[in-house]
Amino acid sequence: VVQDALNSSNQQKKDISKRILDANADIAERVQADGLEIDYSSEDDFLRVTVGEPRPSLSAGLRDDLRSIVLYDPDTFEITAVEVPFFMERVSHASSVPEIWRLISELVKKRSSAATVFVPAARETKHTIEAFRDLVLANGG
Amino acid sequence: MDDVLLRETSPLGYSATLRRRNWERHEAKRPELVGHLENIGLCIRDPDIIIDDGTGCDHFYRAGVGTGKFANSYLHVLVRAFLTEQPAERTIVTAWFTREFEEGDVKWSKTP
Repeated sequence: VVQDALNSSNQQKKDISKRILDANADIAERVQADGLEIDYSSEDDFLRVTVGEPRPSLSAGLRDDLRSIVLYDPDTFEITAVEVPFFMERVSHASSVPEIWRLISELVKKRSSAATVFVPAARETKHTIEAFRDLVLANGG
Repeated sequence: MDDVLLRETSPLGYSATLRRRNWERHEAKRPELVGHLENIGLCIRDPDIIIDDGTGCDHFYRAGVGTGKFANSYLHVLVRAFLTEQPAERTIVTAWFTREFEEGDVKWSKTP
C-alpha cells in the first residue's frame, strides 16, 4: 500500500511539474501586475515570497539545493507563492544558490528582526523603491 | 514568551509542538490552512505516513482532512528537531496541502 502511494506520488510529481511549467510562462507579467511580497521570519528562519494576494494553494517541492516549496492554485496551476523553511541555514550550506535567493539573503542579513517587503504592481514603482530602500537602510545597510 | 498552541505525541514517540506566533503567521498568508489547527494535531497523532528527508526533518502526511479542491490531497506537516530541544521534543515548522510526498525514507506508515 505504501509503495503504491509512493509510486503514485512520483507520477503526480511529474504531472504537476509539467502543468506548473505550462501555466506560468507569464509569471513575470503577473508579478508586475499583481505585486510581490517578500516575508522573512527570523524567529523561524522561514521565507515566503507571495505573488499578489494570498489564495488557497497546494504545494509541490522544487528540486533545488534549498528544497524550496512552490505553492500553486489547484485549478489554474498558477504559482501563488514560494516558501523556503530554514532559509538562511540552507543558503549558508547550499553549493548552488539561485540569484533571487542570494539577493534576498543579502537583504535579510542587513535586517536583524522580521522583515516584510511588499513589491507592488508596476504602477507603484516609486513605493517599491521606497520599500526596498527602507529595508536596506533600516539597519545601516 | 511565545505560548504553545498544541502539543501532540507522534507514533515515533516524541512530542511535536506548534507555537502560536508561528501558526498565526502561516494562517495569515495561507487561507487553505484556516480552520485546520485540529487537523494539524490529528496529522501528528495519527498520520498515514512519515518520511525522513535526511536533513533532520520528519514529514507527516494525513489524507482525508481536506475539503473541496483539497479533498484529494494530503495534509503535510513539517516537524524538526532543534539542537536546543530535549530528545523527545520536536517543533512543528509549517504545514501544507499537497498531492505528492517528499523524497526520503519511509520512517513509519499506518499500513504495510
